[in-house]
Amino acid sequence: MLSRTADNIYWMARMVERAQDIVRLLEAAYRMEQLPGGGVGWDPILTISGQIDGFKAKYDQLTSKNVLNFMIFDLENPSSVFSCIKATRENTRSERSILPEEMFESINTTWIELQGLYYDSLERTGFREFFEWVKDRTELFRGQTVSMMVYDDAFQFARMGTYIERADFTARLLDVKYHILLPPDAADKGLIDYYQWGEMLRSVGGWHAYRSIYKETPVPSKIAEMLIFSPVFPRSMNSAYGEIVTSLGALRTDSMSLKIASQEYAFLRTGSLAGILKERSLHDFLTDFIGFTANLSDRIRSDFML
Amino acid sequence: MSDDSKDNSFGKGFYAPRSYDEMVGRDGSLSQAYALYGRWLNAQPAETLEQRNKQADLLFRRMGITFAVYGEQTGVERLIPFDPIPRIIANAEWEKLNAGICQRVKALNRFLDDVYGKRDILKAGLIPQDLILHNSEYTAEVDGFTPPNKVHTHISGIDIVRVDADHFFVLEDNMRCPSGVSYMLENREVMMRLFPDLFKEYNVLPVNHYPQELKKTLTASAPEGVENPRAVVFTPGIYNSAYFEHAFLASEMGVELVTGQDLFVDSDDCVYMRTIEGPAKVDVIYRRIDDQFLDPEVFRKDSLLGCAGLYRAAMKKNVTLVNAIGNGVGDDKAVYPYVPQMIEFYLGEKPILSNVPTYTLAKPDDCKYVLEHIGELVIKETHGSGGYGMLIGPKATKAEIETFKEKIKEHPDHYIAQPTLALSSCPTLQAEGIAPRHVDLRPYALMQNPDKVVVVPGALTRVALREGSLVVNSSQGGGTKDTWVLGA
Repeated sequence: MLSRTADNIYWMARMVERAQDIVRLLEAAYRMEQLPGGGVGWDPILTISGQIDGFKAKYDQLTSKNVLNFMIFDLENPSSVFSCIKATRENTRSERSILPEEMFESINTTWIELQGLYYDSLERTGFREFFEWVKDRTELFRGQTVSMMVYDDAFQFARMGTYIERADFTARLLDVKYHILLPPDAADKGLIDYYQWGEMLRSVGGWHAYRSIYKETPVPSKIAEMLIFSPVFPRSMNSAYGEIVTSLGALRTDSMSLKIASQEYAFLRTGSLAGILKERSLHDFLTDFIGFTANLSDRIRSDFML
Repeated sequence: MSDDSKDNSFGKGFYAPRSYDEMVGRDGSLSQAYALYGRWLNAQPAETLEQRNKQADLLFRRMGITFAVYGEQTGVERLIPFDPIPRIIANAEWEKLNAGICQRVKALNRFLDDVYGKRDILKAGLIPQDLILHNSEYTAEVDGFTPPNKVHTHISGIDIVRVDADHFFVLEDNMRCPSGVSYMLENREVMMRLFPDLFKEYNVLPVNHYPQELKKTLTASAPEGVENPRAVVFTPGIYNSAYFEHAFLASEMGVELVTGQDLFVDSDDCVYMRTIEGPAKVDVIYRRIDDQFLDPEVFRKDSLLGCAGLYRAAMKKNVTLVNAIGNGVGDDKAVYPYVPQMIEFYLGEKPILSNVPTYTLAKPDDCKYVLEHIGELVIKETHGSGGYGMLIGPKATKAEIETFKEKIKEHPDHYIAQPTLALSSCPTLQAEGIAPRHVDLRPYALMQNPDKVVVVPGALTRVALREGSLVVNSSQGGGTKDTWVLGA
């Protein structure tokens, strides 16, 4: 397989995953805003997606309308839903000759339908419906990746793209929200926190998962534990690394990327939240993890794509 | 309706072709090829075609069968208008076309081999030497070079027009990077989805095996001694107007689609592509990129699309370029008038398909005649393509004619002239209903060795959508139709 193809497929999968992650975040914030006194503020979304500077350069006020405009429609924001879908489509288009034809057609249809949407039209038809629609369309595309692509090298790059993005996103989300989960003063903030935990779980699609795994009301430390260590929750950092290691192993058994990813995976399989907190803060751990994952992505590039 | 279904006429009172029409005769009767279709059309409620047309539009958009228009903002993608009424060609007509195309392509291939080789045709005085050797399309870099298998013209698109029941003319030969074949294939795909019943009734010869024949053509042209040659399609990239086609053909043939950045020529003068397992040798390159941009070491230095060293590798026969370098001198408009002579010279046969009578303005007599009769003629730039840089005398304003006359006087050798042909028309769906519109025909010929040319029974039919217009190019508002060649 061409190195450029590997790169395009990898980013195809990353960008469609990012589109969905962004929409989940927006949806959670949008729901929170409807709770009495419950606005979580919109700035965490900008922090998580790394776009706070870009936003400030364009807007004076941190209003829901500004953030929604910026994070959904703005093509100058590389993490907006439009930008992510556009990048997915371009990468898919570049590789349409080797991908199942349904994949280009479905992402192309999504892109064409996006063209007809504006802030005002979503106000009329409903933002929640839009979020649902983007989740459906991106899940459809991912489903096509998994169920229609031949399990060849291209597939491995698609899987790595998905899970590198997902590991990164889950860590960023947790990093921005950990103060809600583990407040330094440990004071009980009551009901609002309960909803905030709930929304946070929802933004990684983990509300149902939490209940089926722990069978109890959300407890902050367990939420963190699930997002980092759970081997059964598909959006945990542990699960993501499991998939990454499987794909790297399927490509080549002697790559440096496989070696370093396996070390991290070993930690995620055996570690615990208490173990982390004995040595350092959750924030420090997550910062390291995000940096490590970015390095791994570069390493994959130099191992396979150059 | 039952009366209608036996009715052998179409469009009484509203369908009034002004020139030879493929479907309807002067008396309103249906031509043989269209007999069944015309009766079917008569029985359709007016909305059916309209509806199917909208459906087709959605299908094309969804499939992303788009092209970029040069001169517009980069990345803007448009659909080529598609017309849901097919162009139908009777089997006997096709047999003649097929024989004529094969003959023509064989002669042109021999011609290219000759002018870059022994130059017998020039020595025999059949074509003026200056016309070839001083032609800007003549590529001295491949002088003396014979490509593997002696094939220069692996893929040709021959533009043909029809003027009456018996006469087809070749308008132009395209032997560099002819495009459009994906429309031949996708138009069929879409038509079969829209009108399944028609295909059951009609014996339409299939075209879907084109990619298979193309792959055979590529494989057959591999450098000598290479077993299991690796072929690739070389595209300028996703912003090229024909990118969809490049991707489509690569996919259908199951070969890699590469860009310049994926290829490199190593110190052994072989071409490799960069893969995740390291360099992989490439044996045949179906390049959809013009000679000028192919290799910055030899041709345009500023080309970012090409790959340095390709020329070197091709000259050493470590890789085969498809089509060969330098074909432009074979499909040049100034050389075109000599194709009938080539057929007689190389093959000893009478041409099956006629050329359009052509005035070569480099000849003083021709030039004088053309300037006096410019209002009746079509003037074309010898190196122009895509319908740009031409004057259609009968449609031009006085001012346009005067400007063109000046240009001709300045460089008469840059122009040729032809009588305006009454191109045949075909029923076409318009906002106001079904109306006759002018069409041309581009079949694709694949040369697998100098004696074997395969033409898939089908073609791209281009249609000029504006009433009375003779310009069918997609860059100037032309559309396409599915082309049905009927079985015997």
